[in-house]
Amino acid sequence: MVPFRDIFVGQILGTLLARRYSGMVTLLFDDRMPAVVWLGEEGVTHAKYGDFINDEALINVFWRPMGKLELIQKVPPPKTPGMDYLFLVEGLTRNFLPQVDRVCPMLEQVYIKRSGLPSSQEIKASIVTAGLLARISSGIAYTGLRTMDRAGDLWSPLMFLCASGQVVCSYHPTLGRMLMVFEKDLLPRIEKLFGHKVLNPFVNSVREGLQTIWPGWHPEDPPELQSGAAPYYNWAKLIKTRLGALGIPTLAARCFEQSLEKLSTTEAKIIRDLASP
Amino acid sequence: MYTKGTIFYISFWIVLCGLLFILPILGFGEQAASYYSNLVQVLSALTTAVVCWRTSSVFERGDPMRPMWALMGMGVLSWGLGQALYAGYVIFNQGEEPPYPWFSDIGFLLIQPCIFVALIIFARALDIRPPAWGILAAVIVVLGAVFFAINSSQENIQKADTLIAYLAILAYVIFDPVLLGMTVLSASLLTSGMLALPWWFCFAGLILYYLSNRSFEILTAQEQYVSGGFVDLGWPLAYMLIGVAAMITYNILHPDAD
Repeated sequence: MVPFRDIFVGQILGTLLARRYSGMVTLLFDDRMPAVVWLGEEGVTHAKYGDFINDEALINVFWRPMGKLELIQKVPPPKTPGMDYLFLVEGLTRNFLPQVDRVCPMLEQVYIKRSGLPSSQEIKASIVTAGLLARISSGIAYTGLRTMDRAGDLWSPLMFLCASGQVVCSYHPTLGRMLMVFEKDLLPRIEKLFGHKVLNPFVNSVREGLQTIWPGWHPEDPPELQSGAAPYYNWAKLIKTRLGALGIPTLAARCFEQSLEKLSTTEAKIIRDLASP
Repeated sequence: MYTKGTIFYISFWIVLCGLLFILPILGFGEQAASYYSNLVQVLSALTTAVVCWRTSSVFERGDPMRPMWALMGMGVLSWGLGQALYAGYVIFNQGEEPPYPWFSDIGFLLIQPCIFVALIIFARALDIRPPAWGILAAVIVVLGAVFFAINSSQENIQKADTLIAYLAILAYVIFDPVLLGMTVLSASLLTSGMLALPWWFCFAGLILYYLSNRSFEILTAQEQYVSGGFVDLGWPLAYMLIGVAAMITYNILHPDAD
């Protein structure tokens, strides 16, 4: 199972819909009770969470922003009546939207782009979502969208678009770029202070640490979208913990802080949040 | 890294040491040179101890560099106290040398284990595998230094009439080469980076300290050692180099200190 963070389960399902995933997705949360969702050509068809099935199961897990997931492709759904997923998503995003900036503040850093799925009837029927979809166009950062709307008005249609697979959210152009800039500034500082004999093992240990959690992922490339910001949390934490293990933590912390000073206050705060234990 | 403070520190000790050359020209006798030399040695060790502790204090608790620099300071302080006792004995006994071994030797001998442990902490903190050339160089240096120390201590060993005197000589024979070997091994760990620079000063200081010890031992064995001679300058200059290392390290963390 791979971790996901700062992405709602509804968004994960939307991301899978956008890539026309067919199979089973198992989600695990802090309560250790797995939720299983089936997706097929018709979209999200079945769900199970403890004793809850379909709508009730999804209502329970739809707004969870953190956990672990596993994808098993080509698993046929149960032979029981399915669910009207889009109808449920419409209700959940309209009437049961959590306070996103409190539950999942990192979501404000996402980059949104259209998935390529044809617009559904529900979207065509809603002026707000259709308008938002048009503004997203070829891609826009959430912060860019927010300048045009009040944040409260934006989340509901945006979450609907995400959960229905019309748009996908990525942290790569935002957090990924930020961390790359940060690391690019940090590495020469480490080399300047400690020398290349210390730098090379440091870089290797960060990359190996990432490979252990995210096999095959290189920070220069976007990770699987359904993981949300989890890879970036791991990356930032690895940088900080491996820096602390350089043997002279005071000097290493100085390098870290000096590289943060090169970023804007907001970016520095985000990286501190990502790297905090 | 070379701040005004560092340059002043280097200049100050070079001038103080240089005065030893001028004293005979100014007409001061051997005794005045001896007193002056002892004063400079004690002062240099005490000042270096303070500089090392200042550097230790800027590292966070739990950082290996904190105990490392504290131990460096403690080692240099113990030597300084030993030298103060030695000088005091000479002054209060009309130029007569203290018996061997004496309490001053405790101070002289404590510097080596303190700095040895400090270097081990430093090497462990870096967690870098020493290069083959570093290990080889350290082994050669230890073997060579032990051989050299045994040869130069032959006369002292023969003169040793008590167990404590024998053990003191043995400690001098073993501690110095081991410290020198550890110095070479530690030096091989860092070859680049800003952190390497203070360490090269530190290693230069330790090598000068070792050479001063050996020169003193050879001259004493040949009964040619004169307090206030140029060989006495080795120790203050060695401590100056260690002090400079501590100051540069401090300045890395506090670039605007001076």
